[in-house]
Amino acid sequence: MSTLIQLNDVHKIYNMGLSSVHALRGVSLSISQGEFISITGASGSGKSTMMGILGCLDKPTKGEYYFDGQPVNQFSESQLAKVRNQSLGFVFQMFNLLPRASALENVSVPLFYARRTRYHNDALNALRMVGLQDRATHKPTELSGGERQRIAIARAIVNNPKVVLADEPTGNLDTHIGAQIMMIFHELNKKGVTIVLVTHEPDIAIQAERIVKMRDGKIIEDFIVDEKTHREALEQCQQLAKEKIAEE
Amino acid sequence: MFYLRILQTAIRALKSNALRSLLATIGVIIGVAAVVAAMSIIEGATREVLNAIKSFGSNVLIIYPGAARRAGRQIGTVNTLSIADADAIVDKCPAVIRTAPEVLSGAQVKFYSKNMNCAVLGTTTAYPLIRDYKVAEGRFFNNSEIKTEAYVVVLGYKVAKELFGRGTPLGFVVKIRGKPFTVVGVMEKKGTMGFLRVDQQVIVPITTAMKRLFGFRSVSSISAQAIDTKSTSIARKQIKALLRKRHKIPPGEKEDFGIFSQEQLLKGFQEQAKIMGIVFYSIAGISLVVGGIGIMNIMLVSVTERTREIGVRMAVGARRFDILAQFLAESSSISLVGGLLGSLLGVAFSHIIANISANLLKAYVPNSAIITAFTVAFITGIISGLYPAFKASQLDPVEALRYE
Repeated sequence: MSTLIQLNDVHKIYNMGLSSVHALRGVSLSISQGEFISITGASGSGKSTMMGILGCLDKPTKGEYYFDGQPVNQFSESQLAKVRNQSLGFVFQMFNLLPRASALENVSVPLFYARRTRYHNDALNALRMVGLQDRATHKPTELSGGERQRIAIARAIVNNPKVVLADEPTGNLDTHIGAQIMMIFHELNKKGVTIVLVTHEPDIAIQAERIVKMRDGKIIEDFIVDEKTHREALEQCQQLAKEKIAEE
Repeated sequence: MFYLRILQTAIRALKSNALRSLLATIGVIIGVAAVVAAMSIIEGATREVLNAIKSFGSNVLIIYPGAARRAGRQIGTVNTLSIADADAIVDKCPAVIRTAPEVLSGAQVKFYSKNMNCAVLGTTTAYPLIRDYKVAEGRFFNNSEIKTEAYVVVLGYKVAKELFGRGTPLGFVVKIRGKPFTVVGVMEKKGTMGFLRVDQQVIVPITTAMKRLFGFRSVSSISAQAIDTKSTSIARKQIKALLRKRHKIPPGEKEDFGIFSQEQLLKGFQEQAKIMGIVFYSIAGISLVVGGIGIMNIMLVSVTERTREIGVRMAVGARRFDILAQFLAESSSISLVGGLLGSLLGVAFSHIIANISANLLKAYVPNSAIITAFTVAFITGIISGLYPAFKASQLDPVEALRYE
C-alpha cells in the first residue's frame, strides 16, 4: 500500500510569552492509504498537537511532513485550506456544528468552500451514508448527541476525503451511541478511507488495526494490534451498537 | 454565486441577533438620515431660489437706492435715484439695452363697490420687455401717455379677476386713491416674479405715479437689461462707474446705490446653503463615526462569540480570505440596512422640516442623496468591519477550535 502520510522528525514548539512549550519532540510516523490507526496518550502527551499537524491546521516548527507525496511545509495558507477541504475530514469531540444551520446546510459547508455551485445532492448522499437523510432540515439543537456526531461525520466525508481525522469522537457519548459511531468509522474504513483516531479510551483505541502511543511529545510505542484482540473488540462494538438499537 | 452564499450566511447571522444588529446600526441610521435630509432641504431651497431668479430674467440688474452720505456720514435715505439716471444708463452704458425706472407703493383700487389692496407700480414701456411680462388683453400704456401723465392703468391678472369677474375691464374706470384711471390692458397670469406677486399689482405710467398719485421725487428702483446673460457683470461695472460720476461720489467713498443681480442673489444664497450644509454634514459625520464604532464594536463581539465557528470553517476548508469576506459582508449588510432605514427617516425628516417652516423651506429628495446615503453607509460598514474581519481571518484554527 502507498504511503499517504509521512512525518520525519517533527518538532512543534509553542511560544507562550517568555516560556515556550515543546509539544512535539521529534516524531516520525508513516501512515499508509486505507489504514485505521489510533493515537493514544495521556493529556499533555502531544496527541492533540499531532492532530493539528496531521490535519494541516498547523505547521511543524521543525521537521518534514509529506501528505500524499506533497511537502506540506512548503504550502501556502490557501494551499493548506485546499488540502483540508479536499483531502481531509474532521470529526471533533464537541461535534462543532453550526447551530443556526440545518443538518443539510452543515454538511454542505465544505462543498461551499470548495466553490461548488450545486451541492444539494452530494450533501444528501453524505447524510444518507450516516442514516440521517430524514433529518436534513433539522437544526443541531433539535437532534440527539449521537445524531449530531453522525452529521459531523457526514460533513467530514462529503468531499470524499482520503483521510478522516477524529479527535475523541465518542468522548461526549454513552458507550452504546459511541459504538454506533465507531461502526460508521469501520464502514468508512472498509470503503478505503484512512481513519486516524485520537483517543485516550483503551477499548476504543483497540478497535484500530494499529496503535501509536505518545508521551511527552514522543512516540513511545507503535504496534499492530494482533488479529484476535482486534476481532474481539470489533465484535464487542457491534454487540453494543445492536443492543442500543434493540432498546429503541 | 459563492459571494451570494457568503451574503446569505451573513444575513442569517444578523437575523439571529436582530435587535443587537439594529441597535448597532442606529448611529448609521442617524448619520444617513442627516445626509439625506440636508441634501433634500438644500436641493429644495436651491430649486425655489433658482425659480425665483429665473422668473425675473437672468440678464436683469436691479439698481436700488442706498443711503445718501456726505463726508462719510449718512444724511438721508432713499431719494438718490431718478428717471434721468435710468435714461443716462441706456445712453452711456453699451452693455445695457434698456432700462425701466420703477416706483412702487400700495393703494386701494376700487371699482364701484368692489375694492382690493394692490401694489401700484409706476414704470415705463420698457418694463414688460425687460421682465418678459406680456399683456393678455388690451394694450400696455404708451410713451405719449407717459409724457402727458395720463390716468391709464394696466391691471394684474388677479386684480382684473377680483374686480371684474369674467367680464372685460377694458374701457372701464377704476379709482386709485380716489383718482379715476381708465383700464387699457390686463397682464398675463404670472404668479410671482422675483419675490413679488405681480398678479396682484396694477401698473400706471411712472410720471402719473410720481406726480399725481404719490408725490415721489425719486424712483424706488431701476431695472436694467444687459445685452445677454454673459454681459451682466460688464453692465454692472459700467452702471456703477456712470452712477458714481453722476452722483459725484469721490473715489474711496461708498456708493449711494446698490446693484442687485442674479449672480449676487445666487452667491448670497449659496453662502447660506454652504453654512446649512456644513452644519448638517457635521452632524452626519459625527453620527457616522459613532455609528461605525458601534458596528465595529458589535462585530468584535461577534468574532469573539463565534471563534469556534471560525475554527470549524477553517478546518473544513475556508481560506482566510473567505472568513474576511464573511465578516465584511456582515458589517456592510448591517450598515446598508442602516442606510435604507436612514434614507427613509431622512426623507420623512425633510418633509417634516418643510411642514414646520410652513413651506418656507421645500423638500426635494434628489436621487444623488439616496445614492450618497447608500455609498456612505456601505463605506462605513466596510471600514468598521475591516478590523474585526481581519482579526477573525487571522485566528489560529487550532486555538479557535479549542476556544470555550
